[in-house]
Amino acid sequence: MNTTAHLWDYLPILIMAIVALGFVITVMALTHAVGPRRKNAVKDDPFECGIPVQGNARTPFSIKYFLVAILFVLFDVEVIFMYPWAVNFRELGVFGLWEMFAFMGLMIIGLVYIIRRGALKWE
Amino acid sequence: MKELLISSLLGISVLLFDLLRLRRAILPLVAAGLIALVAVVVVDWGTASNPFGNNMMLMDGYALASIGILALLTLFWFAITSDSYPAQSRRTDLYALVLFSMTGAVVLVSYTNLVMMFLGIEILSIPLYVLVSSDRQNPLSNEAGFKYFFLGAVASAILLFGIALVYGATGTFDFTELGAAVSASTSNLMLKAGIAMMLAGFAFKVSAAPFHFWTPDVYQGSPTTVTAYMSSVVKAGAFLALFRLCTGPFSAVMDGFTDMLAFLAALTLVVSNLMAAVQTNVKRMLAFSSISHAGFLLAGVMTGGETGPGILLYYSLTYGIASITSFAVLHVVSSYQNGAMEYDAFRGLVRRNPFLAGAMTIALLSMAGIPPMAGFMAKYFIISGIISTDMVWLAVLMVLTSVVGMYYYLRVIIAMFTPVENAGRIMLRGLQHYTYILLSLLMIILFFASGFFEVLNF
Amino acid sequence: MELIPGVTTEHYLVLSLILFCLGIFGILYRRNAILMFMCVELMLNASNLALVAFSRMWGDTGGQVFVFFIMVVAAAEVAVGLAILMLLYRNMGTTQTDVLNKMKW
Repeated sequence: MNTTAHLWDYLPILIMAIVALGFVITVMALTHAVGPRRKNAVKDDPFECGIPVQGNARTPFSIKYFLVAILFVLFDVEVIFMYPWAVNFRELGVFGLWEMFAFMGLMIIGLVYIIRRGALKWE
Repeated sequence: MKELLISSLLGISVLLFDLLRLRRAILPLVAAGLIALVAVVVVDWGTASNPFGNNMMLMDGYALASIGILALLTLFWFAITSDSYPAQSRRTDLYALVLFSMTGAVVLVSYTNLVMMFLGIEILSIPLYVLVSSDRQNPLSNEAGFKYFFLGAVASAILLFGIALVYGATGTFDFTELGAAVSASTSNLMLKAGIAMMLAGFAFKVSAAPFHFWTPDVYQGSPTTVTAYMSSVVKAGAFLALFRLCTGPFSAVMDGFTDMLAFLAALTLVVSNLMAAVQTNVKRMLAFSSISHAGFLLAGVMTGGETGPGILLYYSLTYGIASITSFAVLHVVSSYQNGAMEYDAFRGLVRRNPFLAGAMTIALLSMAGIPPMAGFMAKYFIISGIISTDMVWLAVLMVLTSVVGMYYYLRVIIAMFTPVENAGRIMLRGLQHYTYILLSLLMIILFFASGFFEVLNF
Repeated sequence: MELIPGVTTEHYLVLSLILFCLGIFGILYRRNAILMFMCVELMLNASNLALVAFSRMWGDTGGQVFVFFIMVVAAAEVAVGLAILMLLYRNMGTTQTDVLNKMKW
């Protein structure tokens, strides 16, 4: 198999990208040009169930969400080590399986510790 | 292999013990584990060692001796700070982080592959970022944590790019192949640039001037017990790793970098000693003094040679003991004075607790390099090594800056012996008490046992 | 081995150098902790690009495996770094690094 690709092979993707971009730009320009424009203070307000808007939209959100997100990143990235294992699954055989068990076991100890320390408690 | 397993499993077992509600048993567990680590080193000493993990690591004599010293220093740290952390849940995290960080140091002294070196540095550093900012309510600790994290990450990135360039020039990470490839292409520009970037990254990590700016802030801001750990185990680990790199695969091209390292060492010595002399805060003064010792250790890395490893290990051990002692005393003294860390906080310490004052005096004299303390022999070895490589100007600079050092160390000692009215006594618990005595004795015993390290051959 | 004709290892190396320098420049120029943080990530990823390019040039998979490790290390750094940043934000009320001036000299 010849792994060397040619720039030529990517031409359909380029055409596709140009068409997609062109469509979006055309439609946006068209609606902007054709549609009527009537501006007043009430109309420019962000719509929130019809009642007056309260406060800033960019308020900081709860810190709990942040903690969960950080922990997610950590456990998410560990999957990266499963990728080479998945590719060489047959060659590594039972040895690879045990290694992966050991790795996962260590990760689970970490997870259990996090849960016991209450890092995932929402309230 | 065994050493790495023990040190990494020790940290995980600490977490497990916490889960199993065996918090009281954690400190004995840590002590037993670290003693076992030292014992394994002693048993393995002199036996032929094979590389393991696809030639990633090798427990040779140098690695074993380094691991022994790192384990001992960590053990001393645990003993001397045992009183500072009450048996609560938070202690578990700190202890586990310290042990994980020590595992990084173990990797750093036994790697034979650049991948492992980078991982070792990160395993050493990432727990430290947490430890430094572990005093959560204290803005100083926050600031120290951010500065350390940020500059540490930048240093890692620079080091990593250096590794990438070296890989580009040689096509391998493995030490044996790397050594052959390096000596075959000593004038390759990409290789030289890569090594220079790696050295710059390391200079950040070991806090050599002009990459030292984070050190005083981080040392001052972090909890004093953490500072004690950083200035001993972490510093020793980083320098031992740098030595392994410079004398290993890059030895063929190190001649071209000697001038650069000599310049760094000289600048480090001058800047740190002058800055330390003008400090009013003892913790900050000790931080600058730690930088000045980095200058000595850098010179030790540069000399290399037959006795090089032994000298570097001896210096790391003696300085580590002295700095653990001095920071621990500072911690106790300041906690009795609402956190005051000025020179005045030490006034009348000899009345308040003679053991603390004695240990502090011995530690400071050792750092200043006054016989019969071990620090004298350590400095003597390094200076004579420098003279034998025909860099007399650097040796003269070392002696001169040591004289400046004498000034700020003596200021603390004088303050301790200044009488003060109605001084309350400072009480120490049994284990801490004995640790201070042990460390003070060690600093004197090591002076006479220095010959052993000089003939240490790998 | 060229995946795309005309694009050699040098091109990748130059791109990674540009990214690395952008990262350094951003760190020196920016005063917002989160932006500085992103610049560090940029530097790490510049190294990743160089490693993968060299790995292909030498026909050695070592460089690519190293990149896996770097990505995990970067994730760990992100977790710790953002936690420290959060601490800072809670105590100081800002992520501008100008407030970090309690210790000088």
